[in-house]
Amino acid sequence: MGKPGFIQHIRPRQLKSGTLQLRNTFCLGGFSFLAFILLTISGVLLLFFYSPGEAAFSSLSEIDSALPYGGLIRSLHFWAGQLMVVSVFLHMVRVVWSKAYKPLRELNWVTGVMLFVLTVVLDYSGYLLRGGQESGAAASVGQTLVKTLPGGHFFSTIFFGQPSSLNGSTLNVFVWHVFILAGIAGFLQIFHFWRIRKDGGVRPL
Amino acid sequence: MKQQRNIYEENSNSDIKKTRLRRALAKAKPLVALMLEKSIPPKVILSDSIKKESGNSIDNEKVPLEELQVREAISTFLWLGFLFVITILIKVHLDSSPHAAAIGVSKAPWVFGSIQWLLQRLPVWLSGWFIPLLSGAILLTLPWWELKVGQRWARIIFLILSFVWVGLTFLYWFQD
Repeated sequence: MGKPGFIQHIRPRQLKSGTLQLRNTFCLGGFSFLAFILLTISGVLLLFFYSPGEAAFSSLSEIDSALPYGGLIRSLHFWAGQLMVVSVFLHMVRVVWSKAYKPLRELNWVTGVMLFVLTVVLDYSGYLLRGGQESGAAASVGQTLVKTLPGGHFFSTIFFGQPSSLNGSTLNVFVWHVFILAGIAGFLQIFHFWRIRKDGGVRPL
Repeated sequence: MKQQRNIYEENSNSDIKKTRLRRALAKAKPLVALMLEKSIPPKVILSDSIKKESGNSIDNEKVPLEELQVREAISTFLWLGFLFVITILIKVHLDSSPHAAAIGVSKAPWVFGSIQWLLQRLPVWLSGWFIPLLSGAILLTLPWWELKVGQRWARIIFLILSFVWVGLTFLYWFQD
């Protein structure tokens, strides 16, 4: 029985040797995806004990101090997130350096830029979910920024909900961070990988 | 008589078995051939069109997926090692409790340090919307900029954008 078409497409039996050279990729795209996988796993583990909203800070405090390895998983989630932002940015620099953004690969470049923006927004929404005073201040800045737009109050309520200046964690931010933004990022990454093979691998042009 | 019948049955059974074995072998032949083909390292296949297109034909040599998988395993191991080391060494502290006395000034997360730096100095529409959106639009359309202004200038545009945003992030983070 052969492999399904999609898997066979992104993991073909034979590859061009140029795709294996370290200086062509520095594994940065792979590191970003690895970070995403780790973030998903550690995020799901945190979901079992985290409560958004008023109880956010106390639930995180409980995860950190009372739960076995809770602090480690929270730290892992945090550092994987920071490393993902850095590796996605460096990946973008590498792509420009190796001229891999040029046509016919422009669609994948656009997807990659969207993924970078999504990664940054995911990092921001994750920061809000920490539920402390710092997250409240970050939410206030974000809300003020969005409210300067026409229809900004509507968009602000959709994304931020009703955070207080002392706690940025709300159910709205939680849903965006865990389901919507992470889901879109996951889907775009799969599309990104599919396009890489479709456009002839990671060799520089 | 009974013994003769048994011998006859045994013979006919062995004939059936032989026939079945022959059929199975005939069916298995292509499979065995395929397995042998997989076990032999694949030959380097170079397409003529690729040779003509690219000066560096070595980069277009075909290699088995296992070569990539080994490299992926090594880099995954190293990356995970690095991540676990910083996770263990640098503890992530909790924020200030919302029930504690209100803190004075809190720093923005480092990712938004650059925008925060701009927000402190420029009008909101400019620092919070125009400059970031313009940067994003230029970044998104970089492949088309290259067609207009050439590869060198496209790279210079990207470098300027990167240095400005990374520079502002550092500037914000290390300012008092």
